[in-house]
Parts: sequence; structure tokens; C-alpha cells
Amino acid sequence: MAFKRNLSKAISLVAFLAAADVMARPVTDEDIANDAKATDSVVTYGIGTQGQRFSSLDKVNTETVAKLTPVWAYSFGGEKMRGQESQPLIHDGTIYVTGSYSRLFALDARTGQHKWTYEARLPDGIMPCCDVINRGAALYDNLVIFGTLDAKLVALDKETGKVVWKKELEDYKAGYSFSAAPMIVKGKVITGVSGGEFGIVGKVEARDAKTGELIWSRPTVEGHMGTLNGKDNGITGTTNASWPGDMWKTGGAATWLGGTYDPETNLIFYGTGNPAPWNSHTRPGDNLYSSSTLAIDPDTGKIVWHYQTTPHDGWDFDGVNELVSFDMMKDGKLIKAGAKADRNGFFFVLDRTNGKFISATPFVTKTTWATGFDSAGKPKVVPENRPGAPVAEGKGKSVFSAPAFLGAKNWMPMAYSPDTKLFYVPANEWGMDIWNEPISYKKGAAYLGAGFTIKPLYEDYIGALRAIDPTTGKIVWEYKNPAPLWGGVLATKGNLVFTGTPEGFLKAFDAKTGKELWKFQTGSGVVGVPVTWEADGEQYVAVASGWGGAVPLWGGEVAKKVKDISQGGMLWVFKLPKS
Amino acid sequence: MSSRLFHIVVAAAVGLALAGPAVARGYDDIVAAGEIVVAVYRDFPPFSDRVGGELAGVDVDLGKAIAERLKLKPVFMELTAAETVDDDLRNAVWKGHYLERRVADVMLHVPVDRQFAQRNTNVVLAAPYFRERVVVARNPERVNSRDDVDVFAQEKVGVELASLADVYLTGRLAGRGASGNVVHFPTLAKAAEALTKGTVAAVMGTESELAAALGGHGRDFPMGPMPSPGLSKPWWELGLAVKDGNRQLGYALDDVMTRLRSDGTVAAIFHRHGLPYLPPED
Repeated sequence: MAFKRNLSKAISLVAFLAAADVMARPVTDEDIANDAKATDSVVTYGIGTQGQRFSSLDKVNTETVAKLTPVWAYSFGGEKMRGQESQPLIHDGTIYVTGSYSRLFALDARTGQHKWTYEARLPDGIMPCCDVINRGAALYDNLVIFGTLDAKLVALDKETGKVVWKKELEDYKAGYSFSAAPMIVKGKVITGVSGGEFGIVGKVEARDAKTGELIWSRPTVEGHMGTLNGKDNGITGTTNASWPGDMWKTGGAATWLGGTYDPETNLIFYGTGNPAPWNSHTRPGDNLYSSSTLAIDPDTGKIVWHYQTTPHDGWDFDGVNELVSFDMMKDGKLIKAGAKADRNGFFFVLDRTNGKFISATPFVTKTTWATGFDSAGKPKVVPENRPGAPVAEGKGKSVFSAPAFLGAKNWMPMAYSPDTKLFYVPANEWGMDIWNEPISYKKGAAYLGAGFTIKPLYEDYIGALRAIDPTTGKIVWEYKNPAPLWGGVLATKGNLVFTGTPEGFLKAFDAKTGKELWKFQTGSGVVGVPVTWEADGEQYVAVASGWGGAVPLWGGEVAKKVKDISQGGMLWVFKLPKS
Repeated sequence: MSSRLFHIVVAAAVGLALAGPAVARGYDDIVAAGEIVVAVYRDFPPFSDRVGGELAGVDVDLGKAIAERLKLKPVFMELTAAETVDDDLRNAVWKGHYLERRVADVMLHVPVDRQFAQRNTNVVLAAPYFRERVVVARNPERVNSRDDVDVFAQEKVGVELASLADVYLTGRLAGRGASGNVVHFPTLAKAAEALTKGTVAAVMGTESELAAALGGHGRDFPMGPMPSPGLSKPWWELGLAVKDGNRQLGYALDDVMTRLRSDGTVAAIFHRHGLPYLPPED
């Protein structure tokens, strides 16, 4: 009897210890709302849902950064060394970082000690267009949520890595995929869709973050019906207002990059991809809402406003880039503004309360498709620089178009510093020759396609990190990089701007002058997104290293600049040495 | 991402700093291994498709026939179609896809076309085995046998989105303010279904896929080439591709294919699948 009682006591002690182990702090709505200000954690992609990527930490600053030193590094292992475009998250002493091939790692933030790995079992036959990357996860409650290349959304217990729920976002067999970081807004997990062959239509969706159940779905092409709680919720736009015939049914506008959320206006801002098919001559009209930013009500999934950055796109200028919320003083007035550095080469400032156009200024040296924007926010298009209709026999007229299809800025997120009031934009200077191929084949069938080659504009650099004053569009400083920039940017109160380079460096610049103050060679190209946080009174900086993404998949002269870069897959963590 | 919507010319996309490029096996290694790896498209009826879990179709039967003549065991590698066949050749024959660095010894259903070959110097195209055509299947009550494509200024015509027929008809009919009569479907099979249901008066697309999609309905919807002024590529030939350094295998396959064609095996395979057979022009 006594033995039995002692045994049960022992069992309850074990149960208590086990319970203590999993009684880790949940991530609350408040944590997410405070993420831009909190210094001990990074619980959102964007360091706050507004996406400013600014940290108020300043122990690492222009004076001290020269001493920044690695603390630990972690190899993602396996043979799966591909592009590492992830932004790490830090919460409650743990780093959550995603890796290529839809993997998620949980590591002790102080020591790098491995806690658990989740590795998605990817089916045969997936065909991601642009490498097997993943851009990061979302944290909510006891969950860490991320998307996989076979278009599933997976929620894992953040302490154990065990699957809590898993939902299909779309059918991977139809060519859909998912690689963006999901976003949490008011208990909902917000996602778009990636990839997709001809015939897809983009959409933004909200699910209950705790269960994965769909709440609303908002297609991004006019004519398609949205849903809310399983019921019809109004058509997007007006059918056939900006699309001919039935082309809207397969109109593209994929939402492959993810959005931002502004609590002040209670709006989700989501960018949309280019219209389909690529040949713009078959779809006269603006083709709404392709190549646009949509402002969506997070409670209902209704579109509140839209702004189209490239009407009737014919150059593959996705409009997916993030709209970053910021407050702008202009002519003595405080404007609730939003800024977006677009694939099409223009830096847009909008009134984020209503989508009203404020300004668009080029942030690269060449934009052949348009000379600028008028005061109504419409581009002044150069018609002869639109790629021609592929109907003629023989090789058609070749058009030189800049920016190239990979964009003046691609997926890599910019940062904004409320201290310097500057945006830090990772840009690329390239163009493309594009012509009608006399004959192309797809799955054994002839069709009329375009051929193109991407070309650097300058001998000495492609990448340029540019500090932009949003009130004037003026470029205050720039850092030129030989290879294309493909990683995200972080700004800090220490008057620093961090970004990585394909040459393998994580670099720190003076936020006011652009002077390079520090760099560290990580061993492979850096296309990840740096973050910073504080623990035990010390400031840490982390970035994933591992070359890949879309750039090395294309040939031509750009390939020459990156052909000697080694693959990798590593998380690097830095801090200042204790003096 | 959506640059996938552009059509990439693989302009010397070599030396991309990728670990361990797949090495295509030489003919002797293939013979020694006793098996030949044959790449066919995934989900591609009537050529290569899973029917009740089993891979079946014209290209699968042809792959088996080739292997049998070479006294080898056929091993099929299913290939997800990329943006263009140029990309497929890279993924299946000379380099492998980055998801899984694996190549086949030979790929089927590759256009044998001089210009196409000139820009794909990493492969050898050989042994054409049939001719594919652009045809129109029509509802005889709405479109008659003497009509040319301008009949679609009055009647709706189904096409596969972004196919040759789509771009051709859209451009042609735009001049008559009738491009809205071109109805787009994600696949020819869906377009054929619309034809049987009367939603469209005709469908324009590739002959074998259209014949397969119509199946038993073929009797009700006559199919054949329609006068199409300005259609740049009314037909083309399909054959095999092997890696550039693998000419010995290419010659062996050429010989086998010549025999399979002359003894009627190829035609029999097409007919067995209920398809018309048009031999290549020699």
C-alpha cells in the first residue's frame, strides 16, 4: 500500500515535471501587436505586421558593430543545400527558422542546441518554379505555422514540433505551391498562393489560426466570387470591366509573397502577381487586380481599396512586393502612408487609409516601360517598349526592357527606419532582351512563345542597396554590390542597416551615410532576412546563409557573376563580445 | 515566380554552381545494367498517364517496345512538364531537376525540329515517330466541312489556354472584333467536354489529345485540319532526345525506331489507343 502510494506520488511528480516542460509561453495577439517594439522576441515576419523591419535595439551600433562576432552557427544538414530565404523568429528562448525543401528547425537561441526538426514529406511531381525555398513561419498561441512546397499549411506544436493541424491550401498537382511566411491577424492566419500554371487565379485567405478552418477567401481577379464562413461574399471587382471575354477565369495575379497588416487602419495589404497569360496582346484592358496592392478588411475579406502599379502588364512585373506602413510628414502634414518598391522599378508612396496615389519615383537607373507616373497615379507607358504580339513568322522584333523580369526589387523585403525616416531598398540593375520565338514547344506541342535573356546594365555591379527618402523619392545613399542582391534588410536604432550578399557576407552599414562598417563571411551566399533581439542584456543578430533562389536558375551574363558561389544551409548568430 | 509565364530560352544555362551534376550513362553502361530509363510526361493522356495506378499510354507502350528490341528492361521516369520543352530536356536528359538530380537515358515526345535543336545543344534529337497536327473538331450542325477559321467570327470555339490555337485564333479574330468567341479551357479535355455539351461549336488543338479526349464522341464531331491562313506551325514531328555525349545510344535508338515503324509496331500502338497515326515525313 505504502509502496503503491509512493509510486503514485512519483508518477504525479513526473507528470508535473512534464507539464512544466510544456508550459512554455504562448504567443498572444498582444505579443504580435507589440512585436515592432518588443526587443526580447521577433514573433512576426516583418518585425511587426506593418513590415518596417526596424528594431529599437542600439547596443550594436555604429561605434560597436566592428566587434560583432559569431556566437554559434547551425547547419541545416542533409544534402538539401538550396536557397535559404528565411527570416528567423525568436520567442521564449527559441529560434524558429525554416530551411529549403520545406523544413523547420527549432533551436535554443542562446546556444544553438537543436530542439526539433520538422521535415515535410514532399510528393513526387512538385515543380516549384524558383528553387525550393521557404521564407519563414508565423507564431501564434502554442503553434508555429508554415507553408510547404506542396501547398499545405502546417501548424506544429512549437515546443515539440508535432503536427497539430494541416490544411491543403491548393492542389499541388495543378502546379500550386507555397513558400511565403504566413501572417497572423486577430487570431487568423493569412496566406496567399504561390506558383500555379496557366489557369490559376490568385487569392488571399484567412483561417482560424488555432484550427486551420477557412474563414474567408478573396480571389484577386475580377469576376470571381469570394467566400465568408462558407457563404458567397461578393464578386471581386466587376466582371469583364478590365478583362476581355473569359480571360478573367484564368487571369493569374498570384499572391505568392505574403502581406502586411496595419492595425491603425485595420487593413491587410497584399500584393498580386502579373496577369496571365504572359502575352498582353490577348487580354486588352487593365486586367484588375493583377500587379496591384489590395487593402483587405481582415474581418470580412472584402477589398477596401486597390492600387495597380502596372496596369495591363506585359513585362512580368509582379505587384507582389510588400506595402510597408509608416507615418510621413509632408508639407507640415502627417500622412498615414504606405510605401512599396515595385518590380517595375518605381518606389510608390500611397495614402494607406484610402489607397490614394501620392508619388512614384524610379529607384533604379533605367525604366524603359514607362517614363513616370502622372498625378492620378497612372503610368506614362512607352508603347514601343511593350513586347510585341507573338504572331509573326520568324524571329520577331527584339525589345530591350528594363527592369528585367526578375524585377528592380524581387521578393527581398526592404526596411524603414523611423529614426532616419529613410527606406532601405535592395535593388538590382538589370534588363532583358525579349523577342518572339519563331517556334516554341510546351509538353510536345508547338506554341508561340517569347525568348529572352537577362543582362546586367553595368559592368561593375548589379545589386544596389539604396536609402530612399519617401517624401521626395531621392536616393540619399547607395551601396553597390557586384552580384544581384537577393536578401532582406534590417534597420536598427543603432543607426545600422544590415543585409546579406550572394558573395557570402552579412554586412552592416551606417544608416545615415551608407558607409560599410562591418562584414562577415558566412561561407555561402546570403539570401536570408536578418533579425535582431535581446537576451540577458545582450543584443543578438541572426541570418540564414545558403545561396539559391531564382537568380542562379537563369543563364546569360548574370549567371557568370554567381557561378562560383557555393551552396549552403546555415544559421549564423552574432553578438558583441563581453568586454 | 510568375516569370514562369515567360518562356525561357535556356541560353547556356551551364555552370550554375550546382553540386554533382547528374551524369548520363553511356550505352555500354546501360546494356550492362540491363535496363533503360525512359522519361515520359506525367498526367499526359493519351501518351503517358496513370490509369488505376498503372502507367499507360502511347509513349509508355513505345518505351516498352524500344526496350524489348534492345533486350533491356524499361524503367519509366515521370516528368512534370516545365514551362517549355527546352526546360524539360534539361530536367530529364542533360542535367536533372534541382529537386532530384536524376536523368533518364532517353526522353520521349520531343519535337524534332531544326531550329529547336539548334538552341538545345546539350541534347541530340532523333528518331521521329509521329506527326502531330493542329486540327479542328466541330459540331457539324454549326460548322461545316468547307468553313475556314473565319467561321469563328460567328461561332464559339474552345481552345487550351495559351496554346498555339489560342494565340492564333485570338489574334485572327481580334481583327473582326470577335476574339470573345475564343473560349479558354485549362486542358483540351475540358474543351472537348464543352463541345459535347454544346457550349462551343468547335475545338481547335492538337490531333491526338483531341481525339483521345473526344473518345467515343469522335463519330459525332468530325475532326481534321481547317484552312487557317497565317497559322505558323500546322504540324510538327515528335521523336526522342538523348544527352549530347550519348550518340551511340542515339544511333541504337534510331535503328530500333526505324524497325518499329517499318514493321507497323508504332502505328499499331496508336491504333490500339484509338488514335489516328500520321507517320513522320521522310
